Amino acid sequence: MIIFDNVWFKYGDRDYVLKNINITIKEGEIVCILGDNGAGKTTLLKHINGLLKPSKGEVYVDKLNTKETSVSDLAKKVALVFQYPERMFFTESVWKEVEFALANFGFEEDIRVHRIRKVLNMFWLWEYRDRSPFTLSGGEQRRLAIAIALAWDPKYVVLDEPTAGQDGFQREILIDIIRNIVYREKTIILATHDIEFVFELPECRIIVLNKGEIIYDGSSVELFNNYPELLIEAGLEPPSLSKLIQTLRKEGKYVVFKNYDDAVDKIYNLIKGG
Amino acid sequence: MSVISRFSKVFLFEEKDALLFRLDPRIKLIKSIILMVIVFFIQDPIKIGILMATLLVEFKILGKVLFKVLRSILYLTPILILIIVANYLATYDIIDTLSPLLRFLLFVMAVDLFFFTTSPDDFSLTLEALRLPMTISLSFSLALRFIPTLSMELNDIIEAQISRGLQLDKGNILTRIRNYIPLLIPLIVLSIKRSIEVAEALEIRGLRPGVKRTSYKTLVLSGVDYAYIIISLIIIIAIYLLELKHLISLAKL
Repeated sequence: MIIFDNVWFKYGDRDYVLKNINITIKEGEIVCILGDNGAGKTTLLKHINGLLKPSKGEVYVDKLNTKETSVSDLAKKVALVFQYPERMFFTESVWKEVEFALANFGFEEDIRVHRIRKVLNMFWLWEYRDRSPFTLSGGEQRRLAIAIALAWDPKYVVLDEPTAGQDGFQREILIDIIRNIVYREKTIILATHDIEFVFELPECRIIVLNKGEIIYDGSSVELFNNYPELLIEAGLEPPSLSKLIQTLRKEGKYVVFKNYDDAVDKIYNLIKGG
Repeated sequence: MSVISRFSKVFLFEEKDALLFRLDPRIKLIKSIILMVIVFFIQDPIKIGILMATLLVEFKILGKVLFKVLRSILYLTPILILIIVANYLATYDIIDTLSPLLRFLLFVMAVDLFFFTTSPDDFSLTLEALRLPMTISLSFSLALRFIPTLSMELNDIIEAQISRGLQLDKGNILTRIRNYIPLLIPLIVLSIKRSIEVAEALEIRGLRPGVKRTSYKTLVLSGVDYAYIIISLIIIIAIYLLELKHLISLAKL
Protein backbone atom coordinates (compact mmCIF):
# COMPACT_ATOMS: atom_id res chain seq x y z
CA MET A 1 0.00 0.00 0.00
CA ILE A 2 1.26 3.47 -0.88
CA ILE A 3 0.06 6.34 1.27
CA PHE A 4 0.51 10.06 0.58
CA ASP A 5 -0.32 11.70 3.88
CA ASN A 6 -0.89 15.43 3.52
CA VAL A 7 2.09 15.90 1.19
CA TRP A 8 3.34 19.36 0.24
CA PHE A 9 6.41 19.83 -1.88
CA LYS A 10 8.43 22.70 -3.28
CA TYR A 11 11.76 22.93 -5.12
CA GLY A 12 14.10 25.20 -3.14
CA ASP A 13 12.32 28.39 -2.13
CA ARG A 14 9.89 28.50 -5.05
CA ASP A 15 6.12 28.03 -4.75
CA TYR A 16 4.63 24.70 -3.77
CA VAL A 17 4.45 22.26 -6.70
CA LEU A 18 2.37 19.76 -4.75
CA LYS A 19 -0.29 20.97 -2.37
CA ASN A 20 -2.04 18.89 0.24
CA ILE A 21 -1.84 15.54 -1.54
CA ASN A 22 -3.73 12.68 0.15
CA ILE A 23 -3.80 9.40 -1.76
CA THR A 24 -4.03 5.77 -0.69
CA ILE A 25 -3.12 3.27 -3.38
CA LYS A 26 -4.01 -0.35 -2.73
CA GLU A 27 -2.35 -3.42 -4.19
CA GLY A 28 -3.52 -4.41 -7.67
CA GLU A 29 -4.85 -0.99 -8.61
CA ILE A 30 -4.13 0.85 -11.84
CA VAL A 31 -3.89 4.52 -11.00
CA CYS A 32 -3.70 7.11 -13.77
CA ILE A 33 -2.54 10.54 -12.80
CA LEU A 34 -3.82 13.04 -15.32
CA GLY A 35 -2.63 16.58 -15.59
CA ASP A 36 -1.35 19.30 -17.84
CA ASN A 37 2.37 19.97 -18.33
CA GLY A 38 3.66 21.36 -15.05
CA ALA A 39 0.74 20.06 -13.00
CA GLY A 40 3.17 18.16 -10.76
CA LYS A 41 2.75 14.63 -12.13
CA THR A 42 6.43 13.75 -12.36
CA THR A 43 7.13 15.39 -9.00
CA LEU A 44 4.42 13.23 -7.45
CA LEU A 45 5.83 10.05 -9.01
CA LYS A 46 9.36 10.82 -7.81
CA HIS A 47 8.05 10.83 -4.25
CA ILE A 48 7.07 7.18 -4.51
CA ASN A 49 10.61 5.85 -4.77
CA GLY A 50 12.11 8.52 -2.57
CA LEU A 51 13.99 10.53 -5.22
CA LEU A 52 12.14 13.50 -3.76
CA LYS A 53 11.13 13.79 -0.14
CA PRO A 54 8.06 15.79 0.86
CA SER A 55 8.63 19.29 2.24
CA LYS A 56 5.64 18.72 4.52
CA GLY A 57 3.76 15.49 5.24
CA GLU A 58 4.84 11.88 4.73
CA VAL A 59 4.87 9.24 2.01
CA TYR A 60 4.68 5.58 3.07
CA VAL A 61 5.45 2.65 0.80
CA ASP A 62 4.40 -0.56 2.55
CA LYS A 63 4.67 1.23 5.90
CA LEU A 64 8.21 2.44 5.10
CA ASN A 65 8.50 6.19 5.44
CA THR A 66 10.33 7.42 2.34
CA LYS A 67 12.13 10.04 4.40
CA GLU A 68 13.83 7.32 6.43
CA THR A 69 14.47 4.81 3.62
CA SER A 70 17.18 4.97 0.97
CA VAL A 71 16.26 5.22 -2.71
CA SER A 72 18.00 1.92 -3.45
CA ASP A 73 15.89 0.12 -0.84
CA LEU A 74 12.71 1.71 -2.18
CA ALA A 75 13.70 1.07 -5.80
CA LYS A 76 13.55 -2.66 -5.10
CA LYS A 77 9.85 -2.32 -4.36
CA VAL A 78 9.06 0.55 -6.71
CA ALA A 79 10.23 0.49 -10.32
CA LEU A 80 10.10 4.00 -11.73
CA VAL A 81 10.22 4.22 -15.52
CA PHE A 82 10.97 7.76 -16.56
CA GLN A 83 9.72 9.66 -19.54
CA TYR A 84 11.93 8.69 -22.52
CA PRO A 85 13.57 5.83 -20.57
CA GLU A 86 15.40 4.76 -23.72
CA ARG A 87 17.68 7.75 -23.25
CA MET A 88 19.24 6.01 -20.27
CA PHE A 89 20.56 2.95 -22.11
CA PHE A 90 24.31 2.53 -21.97
CA THR A 91 25.31 -1.11 -22.49
CA GLU A 92 26.15 -2.91 -25.72
CA SER A 93 23.33 -5.45 -25.64
CA VAL A 94 19.70 -5.75 -24.64
CA TRP A 95 20.63 -8.62 -22.33
CA LYS A 96 23.20 -6.54 -20.44
CA GLU A 97 20.82 -3.63 -20.19
CA VAL A 98 18.36 -5.81 -18.27
CA GLU A 99 21.14 -7.43 -16.28
CA PHE A 100 22.47 -4.08 -15.02
CA ALA A 101 19.59 -3.49 -12.62
CA LEU A 102 19.55 -7.13 -11.50
CA ALA A 103 23.26 -6.94 -10.69
CA ASN A 104 22.73 -3.69 -8.79
CA PHE A 105 20.10 -5.33 -6.64
CA GLY A 106 22.42 -8.26 -5.97
CA PHE A 107 20.59 -11.16 -7.63
CA GLU A 108 22.49 -14.43 -8.10
CA GLU A 109 23.65 -15.44 -11.58
CA ASP A 110 21.05 -18.24 -12.11
CA ILE A 111 18.17 -16.04 -10.96
CA ARG A 112 19.38 -13.27 -13.27
CA VAL A 113 19.41 -15.56 -16.31
CA HIS A 114 15.96 -16.84 -15.46
CA ARG A 115 14.50 -13.36 -14.97
CA ILE A 116 16.06 -11.88 -18.11
CA ARG A 117 14.77 -14.78 -20.18
CA LYS A 118 11.32 -14.31 -18.68
CA VAL A 119 10.93 -10.57 -19.24
CA LEU A 120 12.49 -10.58 -22.69
CA ASN A 121 10.03 -13.25 -23.80
CA MET A 122 7.14 -11.49 -22.14
CA PHE A 123 7.88 -8.30 -24.10
CA TRP A 124 8.72 -9.99 -27.43
CA LEU A 125 12.36 -8.92 -27.19
CA TRP A 126 14.04 -12.31 -26.93
CA GLU A 127 15.30 -12.31 -30.53
CA TYR A 128 17.01 -8.95 -29.92
CA ARG A 129 18.90 -10.06 -26.82
CA ASP A 130 22.37 -9.66 -28.40
CA ARG A 131 21.61 -6.47 -30.28
CA SER A 132 22.57 -3.02 -29.08
CA PRO A 133 19.61 -1.31 -27.43
CA PHE A 134 20.38 1.77 -29.54
CA THR A 135 19.51 -0.10 -32.73
CA LEU A 136 15.97 -0.97 -31.60
CA SER A 137 12.96 0.98 -32.85
CA GLY A 138 11.30 3.55 -30.60
CA GLY A 139 8.53 1.19 -29.57
CA GLU A 140 10.94 -1.66 -28.87
CA GLN A 141 13.12 0.61 -26.77
CA ARG A 142 10.12 1.64 -24.69
CA ARG A 143 9.16 -2.00 -24.23
CA LEU A 144 12.72 -2.80 -23.18
CA ALA A 145 12.63 -0.01 -20.60
CA ILE A 146 9.48 -1.45 -19.05
CA ALA A 147 10.92 -4.97 -19.27
CA ILE A 148 13.98 -3.76 -17.34
CA ALA A 149 11.74 -2.36 -14.64
CA LEU A 150 9.84 -5.63 -14.28
CA ALA A 151 12.96 -7.78 -14.22
CA TRP A 152 13.67 -7.34 -10.53
CA ASP A 153 10.03 -8.13 -9.73
CA PRO A 154 9.00 -4.90 -8.03
CA LYS A 155 5.64 -4.70 -6.31
CA TYR A 156 4.82 -1.31 -7.78
CA VAL A 157 5.46 -0.16 -11.33
CA VAL A 158 5.44 3.59 -11.87
CA LEU A 159 5.34 4.82 -15.47
CA ASP A 160 5.90 8.47 -16.36
CA GLU A 161 4.26 9.40 -19.69
CA PRO A 162 4.47 5.85 -21.12
CA THR A 163 2.89 6.92 -24.42
CA ALA A 164 5.15 9.93 -25.07
CA GLY A 165 6.50 9.68 -28.62
CA GLN A 166 4.72 6.40 -29.36
CA ASP A 167 2.49 5.68 -32.34
CA GLY A 168 -1.02 4.18 -32.20
CA PHE A 169 0.14 0.60 -32.61
CA GLN A 170 2.69 0.93 -29.81
CA ARG A 171 0.03 2.43 -27.56
CA GLU A 172 -2.16 -0.63 -28.05
CA ILE A 173 0.77 -2.84 -27.16
CA LEU A 174 1.35 -0.69 -24.08
CA ILE A 175 -2.25 -1.19 -22.98
CA ASP A 176 -1.78 -4.95 -23.32
CA ILE A 177 1.44 -4.73 -21.34
CA ILE A 178 -0.20 -2.75 -18.56
CA ARG A 179 -3.06 -5.25 -18.30
CA ASN A 180 -0.50 -8.03 -18.29
CA ILE A 181 1.44 -6.39 -15.46
CA VAL A 182 -1.68 -5.99 -13.35
CA TYR A 183 -2.59 -9.59 -14.07
CA ARG A 184 0.69 -10.48 -12.39
CA GLU A 185 -0.61 -8.85 -9.23
CA LYS A 186 1.39 -5.70 -9.48
CA THR A 187 0.21 -2.20 -8.82
CA ILE A 188 0.59 0.34 -11.60
CA ILE A 189 0.77 4.06 -11.22
CA LEU A 190 1.08 6.02 -14.42
CA ALA A 191 1.15 9.70 -15.19
CA THR A 192 0.00 10.98 -18.55
CA HIS A 193 -1.83 13.70 -20.38
CA ASP A 194 -2.86 11.26 -23.09
CA ILE A 195 -6.59 11.16 -22.38
CA GLU A 196 -7.51 8.81 -25.21
CA PHE A 197 -5.00 6.31 -23.85
CA VAL A 198 -6.62 6.45 -20.41
CA PHE A 199 -10.06 6.12 -21.93
CA GLU A 200 -9.03 2.75 -23.27
CA LEU A 201 -8.18 1.60 -19.74
CA PRO A 202 -11.62 1.91 -18.13
CA GLU A 203 -10.57 -0.17 -15.14
CA CYS A 204 -8.18 2.48 -13.92
CA ARG A 205 -8.69 4.86 -11.06
CA ILE A 206 -8.10 8.44 -12.12
CA ILE A 207 -6.51 11.23 -10.18
CA VAL A 208 -6.63 14.63 -11.87
CA LEU A 209 -3.96 17.09 -10.83
CA ASN A 210 -4.33 20.79 -11.45
CA LYS A 211 -1.49 23.12 -10.41
CA GLY A 212 -0.37 20.64 -7.77
CA GLU A 213 -3.79 19.97 -6.27
CA ILE A 214 -6.01 16.92 -6.66
CA ILE A 215 -9.30 18.00 -8.21
CA TYR A 216 -10.68 14.55 -8.95
CA ASP A 217 -10.09 11.06 -7.54
CA GLY A 218 -12.40 8.32 -8.75
CA SER A 219 -13.37 6.00 -11.55
CA SER A 220 -12.66 6.83 -15.15
CA VAL A 221 -16.21 6.06 -16.34
CA GLU A 222 -17.58 8.55 -13.84
CA LEU A 223 -15.09 11.23 -14.87
CA PHE A 224 -15.52 10.92 -18.63
CA ASN A 225 -19.31 10.66 -18.47
CA ASN A 226 -20.18 13.17 -15.80
CA TYR A 227 -17.31 15.56 -15.15
CA PRO A 228 -15.58 16.39 -18.45
CA GLU A 229 -15.41 20.01 -17.26
CA LEU A 230 -12.86 18.95 -14.63
CA LEU A 231 -10.55 17.88 -17.43
CA ILE A 232 -10.94 21.25 -19.12
CA GLU A 233 -10.22 22.94 -15.79
CA ALA A 234 -6.98 20.93 -15.58
CA GLY A 235 -6.00 22.11 -19.06
CA LEU A 236 -6.78 18.81 -20.79
CA GLU A 237 -8.97 18.00 -23.75
CA PRO A 238 -11.78 15.52 -22.87
CA PRO A 239 -11.80 12.42 -25.10
CA SER A 240 -13.92 12.77 -28.24
CA LEU A 241 -16.44 10.24 -26.93
CA SER A 242 -16.83 12.29 -23.77
CA LYS A 243 -17.80 15.27 -25.93
CA LEU A 244 -20.26 13.08 -27.81
CA ILE A 245 -21.90 12.07 -24.52
CA GLN A 246 -22.41 15.72 -23.61
CA THR A 247 -23.94 16.52 -26.99
CA LEU A 248 -26.28 13.53 -26.79
CA ARG A 249 -27.37 14.51 -23.30
CA LYS A 250 -28.17 18.02 -24.47
CA GLU A 251 -30.37 16.39 -27.09
CA GLY A 252 -32.15 14.52 -24.30
CA LYS A 253 -30.54 11.12 -24.82
CA TYR A 254 -29.01 9.99 -21.52
CA VAL A 255 -26.13 7.62 -22.21
CA VAL A 256 -23.20 6.26 -20.25
CA PHE A 257 -20.16 4.91 -22.11
CA LYS A 258 -17.81 2.57 -20.30
CA ASN A 259 -15.24 2.31 -23.10
CA TYR A 260 -14.98 2.39 -26.89
CA ASP A 261 -16.69 -0.95 -27.50
CA ASP A 262 -19.52 -0.06 -25.16
CA ALA A 263 -19.90 3.31 -26.87
CA VAL A 264 -20.03 1.69 -30.31
CA ASP A 265 -22.80 -0.67 -29.14
CA LYS A 266 -24.85 2.10 -27.62
CA ILE A 267 -24.50 4.47 -30.57
CA TYR A 268 -25.46 1.61 -32.87
CA ASN A 269 -28.58 0.99 -30.78
CA LEU A 270 -29.40 4.69 -30.79
CA ILE A 271 -29.18 4.85 -34.58
CA LYS A 272 -31.20 1.67 -34.94
CA GLY A 273 -33.85 2.95 -32.54
CA GLY A 274 -34.03 6.18 -34.53
CA MET B 1 23.99 13.98 -6.95
CA SER B 2 23.37 17.26 -5.25
CA VAL B 3 27.08 18.06 -5.41
CA ILE B 4 26.94 17.93 -9.19
CA SER B 5 23.88 20.12 -9.40
CA ARG B 6 25.36 22.64 -6.95
CA PHE B 7 28.62 22.56 -8.87
CA SER B 8 26.88 23.28 -12.15
CA LYS B 9 24.95 26.11 -10.53
CA VAL B 10 28.23 27.94 -10.03
CA PHE B 11 28.67 28.07 -13.78
CA LEU B 12 25.09 29.05 -14.45
CA PHE B 13 24.94 32.67 -15.48
CA GLU B 14 22.56 34.74 -13.37
CA GLU B 15 21.83 38.28 -14.46
CA LYS B 16 22.04 40.78 -11.61
CA ASP B 17 21.29 44.46 -11.46
CA ALA B 18 24.85 45.62 -10.81
CA LEU B 19 27.48 47.79 -12.46
CA LEU B 20 29.80 44.93 -13.43
CA PHE B 21 26.99 43.37 -15.44
CA ARG B 22 26.37 46.56 -17.38
CA LEU B 23 30.01 47.18 -18.26
CA ASP B 24 31.26 46.52 -21.76
CA PRO B 25 32.45 42.88 -21.77
CA ARG B 26 35.64 43.89 -23.62
CA ILE B 27 36.61 46.13 -20.72
CA LYS B 28 36.09 43.30 -18.26
CA LEU B 29 38.11 40.98 -20.48
CA ILE B 30 40.97 43.50 -20.60
CA LYS B 31 40.98 43.83 -16.83
CA SER B 32 40.87 40.05 -16.43
CA ILE B 33 43.82 39.60 -18.74
CA ILE B 34 45.82 42.36 -17.01
CA LEU B 35 45.19 40.66 -13.66
CA MET B 36 46.16 37.26 -15.05
CA VAL B 37 49.40 38.67 -16.39
CA ILE B 38 50.29 40.68 -13.32
CA VAL B 39 49.94 37.56 -11.20
CA PHE B 40 53.25 36.48 -12.72
CA PHE B 41 55.03 39.73 -11.80
CA ILE B 42 53.96 40.33 -8.22
CA GLN B 43 55.67 38.00 -5.76
CA ASP B 44 54.87 39.70 -2.48
CA PRO B 45 51.95 37.95 -0.76
CA ILE B 46 50.95 41.22 0.97
CA LYS B 47 50.61 43.04 -2.36
CA ILE B 48 48.60 40.18 -3.80
CA GLY B 49 46.50 40.18 -0.66
CA ILE B 50 45.74 43.89 -1.10
CA LEU B 51 44.89 43.37 -4.76
CA MET B 52 42.61 40.46 -3.83
CA ALA B 53 40.92 42.60 -1.20
CA THR B 54 40.15 45.31 -3.77
CA LEU B 55 38.73 42.65 -6.07
CA LEU B 56 36.59 41.16 -3.32
CA VAL B 57 35.21 44.61 -2.53
CA GLU B 58 34.50 45.02 -6.24
CA PHE B 59 32.69 41.67 -6.38
CA LYS B 60 30.63 42.62 -3.36
CA ILE B 61 29.70 46.21 -4.22
CA LEU B 62 29.92 46.48 -8.00
CA GLY B 63 28.93 42.93 -8.89
CA LYS B 64 26.86 41.38 -6.07
CA VAL B 65 28.59 38.09 -6.90
CA LEU B 66 30.89 37.75 -3.87
CA PHE B 67 29.09 34.66 -2.60
CA LYS B 68 29.35 32.96 -5.96
CA VAL B 69 33.05 33.77 -6.26
CA LEU B 70 33.75 32.41 -2.80
CA ARG B 71 31.82 29.28 -3.63
CA SER B 72 33.80 28.77 -6.84
CA ILE B 73 36.99 29.02 -4.77
CA LEU B 74 35.58 26.51 -2.30
CA TYR B 75 35.26 23.94 -5.07
CA LEU B 76 38.99 24.30 -5.72
CA THR B 77 39.88 23.27 -2.17
CA PRO B 78 41.63 20.03 -3.27
CA ILE B 79 43.89 22.00 -5.65
CA LEU B 80 44.54 24.65 -2.99
CA ILE B 81 45.59 21.97 -0.50
CA LEU B 82 47.87 20.44 -3.13
CA ILE B 83 49.51 23.83 -3.76
CA ILE B 84 50.03 24.44 -0.05
CA VAL B 85 51.48 20.99 0.65
CA ALA B 86 53.71 20.89 -2.44
CA ASN B 87 55.11 24.36 -1.86
CA TYR B 88 55.64 23.90 1.85
CA LEU B 89 57.46 20.61 1.28
CA ALA B 90 59.63 22.30 -1.35
CA THR B 91 60.50 25.45 0.62
CA TYR B 92 59.64 24.96 4.31
CA ASP B 93 58.80 28.64 4.28
CA ILE B 94 55.39 30.08 5.03
CA ILE B 95 55.81 33.20 2.88
CA ASP B 96 56.99 31.12 -0.07
CA THR B 97 53.98 28.85 0.41
CA LEU B 98 51.52 31.68 0.75
CA SER B 99 52.67 33.53 -2.36
CA PRO B 100 51.81 30.87 -4.99
CA LEU B 101 48.56 30.11 -3.19
CA LEU B 102 47.41 33.72 -3.26
CA ARG B 103 48.57 34.16 -6.83
CA PHE B 104 46.54 31.14 -7.86
CA LEU B 105 43.48 32.53 -6.05
CA LEU B 106 43.95 35.91 -7.73
CA PHE B 107 44.10 34.17 -11.10
CA VAL B 108 40.85 32.35 -10.35
CA MET B 109 39.21 35.59 -9.31
CA ALA B 110 40.36 37.26 -12.52
CA VAL B 111 38.65 34.51 -14.49
CA ASP B 112 35.52 34.84 -12.34
CA LEU B 113 35.47 38.59 -12.92
CA PHE B 114 34.79 38.05 -16.60
CA PHE B 115 32.77 34.83 -16.60
CA PHE B 116 30.43 35.47 -13.67
CA THR B 117 29.37 38.88 -14.88
CA THR B 118 29.16 38.39 -18.65
CA SER B 119 25.99 37.00 -20.20
CA PRO B 120 26.30 34.34 -22.92
CA ASP B 121 25.11 36.96 -25.44
CA ASP B 122 27.79 39.44 -24.39
CA PHE B 123 30.30 36.64 -24.41
CA SER B 124 29.67 35.81 -28.06
CA LEU B 125 29.77 39.51 -28.95
CA THR B 126 33.16 39.74 -27.26
CA LEU B 127 34.46 36.79 -29.23
CA GLU B 128 33.28 38.44 -32.42
CA ALA B 129 34.89 41.71 -31.37
CA LEU B 130 38.14 39.78 -31.02
CA ARG B 131 37.74 38.93 -34.74
CA LEU B 132 37.68 35.20 -34.12
CA PRO B 133 36.23 33.15 -36.98
CA MET B 134 32.51 32.68 -36.53
CA THR B 135 32.77 28.89 -36.29
CA ILE B 136 35.00 29.25 -33.23
CA SER B 137 33.06 32.02 -31.52
CA LEU B 138 29.75 30.26 -32.15
CA SER B 139 31.04 26.94 -30.83
CA PHE B 140 32.27 28.66 -27.69
CA SER B 141 29.05 30.45 -26.96
CA LEU B 142 26.94 27.38 -27.77
CA ALA B 143 29.08 25.32 -25.42
CA LEU B 144 28.49 27.83 -22.63
CA ARG B 145 24.81 27.96 -23.43
CA PHE B 146 24.48 24.18 -23.07
CA ILE B 147 26.08 23.81 -19.64
CA PRO B 148 22.78 24.36 -17.78
CA THR B 149 20.86 22.10 -20.21
CA LEU B 150 23.41 19.35 -19.85
CA SER B 151 23.43 19.60 -16.09
CA MET B 152 19.64 19.22 -16.06
CA GLU B 153 19.94 16.22 -18.34
CA LEU B 154 22.67 14.73 -16.17
CA ASN B 155 20.33 15.09 -13.21
CA ASP B 156 17.60 13.19 -15.06
CA ILE B 157 20.06 10.44 -15.97
CA ILE B 158 21.30 10.15 -12.40
CA GLU B 159 17.73 9.86 -11.11
CA ALA B 160 16.86 7.24 -13.74
CA GLN B 161 19.94 5.11 -12.99
CA ILE B 162 19.44 5.39 -9.24
CA SER B 163 15.91 4.13 -9.84
CA ARG B 164 17.52 1.14 -11.56
CA GLY B 165 19.48 0.44 -8.42
CA LEU B 166 22.76 2.23 -9.22
CA GLN B 167 24.62 3.25 -6.08
CA LEU B 168 27.20 5.90 -6.87
CA ASP B 169 28.98 5.91 -3.53
CA LYS B 170 29.42 2.17 -3.19
CA GLY B 171 32.65 0.22 -3.34
CA ASN B 172 36.32 1.17 -3.59
CA ILE B 173 37.72 3.96 -5.73
CA LEU B 174 37.89 1.85 -8.90
CA THR B 175 34.28 0.68 -8.57
CA ARG B 176 33.20 4.23 -7.83
CA ILE B 177 34.78 5.47 -11.03
CA ARG B 178 33.12 2.61 -12.89
CA ASN B 179 29.80 3.63 -11.32
CA TYR B 180 29.89 6.74 -13.45
CA ILE B 181 29.86 4.87 -16.78
CA PRO B 182 26.05 4.46 -16.73
CA LEU B 183 25.85 8.24 -16.39
CA LEU B 184 28.51 9.23 -18.89
CA ILE B 185 27.46 7.10 -21.86
CA PRO B 186 23.85 8.36 -22.00
CA LEU B 187 25.13 11.90 -21.47
CA ILE B 188 27.58 11.62 -24.38
CA VAL B 189 24.95 10.00 -26.63
CA LEU B 190 22.47 12.74 -25.76
CA SER B 191 25.04 15.49 -26.35
CA ILE B 192 25.95 14.16 -29.78
CA LYS B 193 22.28 13.87 -30.74
CA ARG B 194 21.66 17.37 -29.44
CA SER B 195 24.60 18.85 -31.33
CA ILE B 196 23.30 17.35 -34.58
CA GLU B 197 19.87 18.84 -33.87
CA VAL B 198 21.36 22.24 -33.10
CA ALA B 199 23.40 22.16 -36.29
CA GLU B 200 20.29 21.38 -38.32
CA ALA B 201 18.30 24.09 -36.56
CA LEU B 202 21.02 26.64 -37.29
CA GLU B 203 21.15 25.65 -40.95
CA ILE B 204 17.37 25.88 -41.23
CA ARG B 205 17.58 29.43 -39.92
CA GLY B 206 20.03 30.32 -42.63
CA LEU B 207 23.35 30.26 -40.81
CA ARG B 208 26.20 29.94 -43.25
CA PRO B 209 29.80 29.96 -42.10
CA GLY B 210 32.13 32.25 -44.01
CA VAL B 211 29.51 34.84 -44.86
CA LYS B 212 30.06 38.26 -43.30
CA ARG B 213 27.43 38.97 -40.69
CA THR B 214 26.23 42.13 -39.04
CA SER B 215 25.16 42.30 -35.43
CA TYR B 216 21.78 43.36 -34.13
CA LYS B 217 23.46 44.40 -30.90
CA THR B 218 26.84 46.11 -31.10
CA LEU B 219 29.22 46.90 -28.29
CA VAL B 220 29.74 50.62 -27.59
CA LEU B 221 32.12 51.93 -24.95
CA SER B 222 30.60 54.47 -22.57
CA GLY B 223 32.08 56.92 -20.05
CA VAL B 224 31.48 54.48 -17.23
CA ASP B 225 33.55 51.85 -19.07
CA TYR B 226 36.49 54.26 -19.48
CA ALA B 227 36.22 55.39 -15.85
CA TYR B 228 36.15 51.79 -14.65
CA ILE B 229 39.20 50.65 -16.59
CA ILE B 230 41.21 53.80 -15.72
CA ILE B 231 40.45 53.51 -12.00
CA SER B 232 41.21 49.79 -12.11
CA LEU B 233 44.54 50.43 -13.85
CA ILE B 234 45.50 53.12 -11.31
CA ILE B 235 44.75 50.75 -8.44
CA ILE B 236 46.68 47.87 -10.02
CA ILE B 237 49.70 50.02 -10.89
CA ALA B 238 49.69 51.67 -7.47
CA ILE B 239 49.69 48.30 -5.76
CA TYR B 240 52.41 47.04 -8.11
CA LEU B 241 54.66 50.06 -7.41
CA LEU B 242 53.85 50.13 -3.72
CA GLU B 243 56.95 50.01 -1.54
CA LEU B 244 55.91 48.29 1.60
CA LYS B 245 58.90 49.72 3.50
CA HIS B 246 57.57 53.24 2.89
CA LEU B 247 54.15 52.17 4.01
CA ILE B 248 55.51 50.75 7.24
CA SER B 249 57.56 53.89 7.93
CA LEU B 250 54.50 56.01 7.16
CA ALA B 251 52.53 53.96 9.65
CA LYS B 252 55.27 54.55 12.24
CA LEU B 253 54.99 58.30 11.78
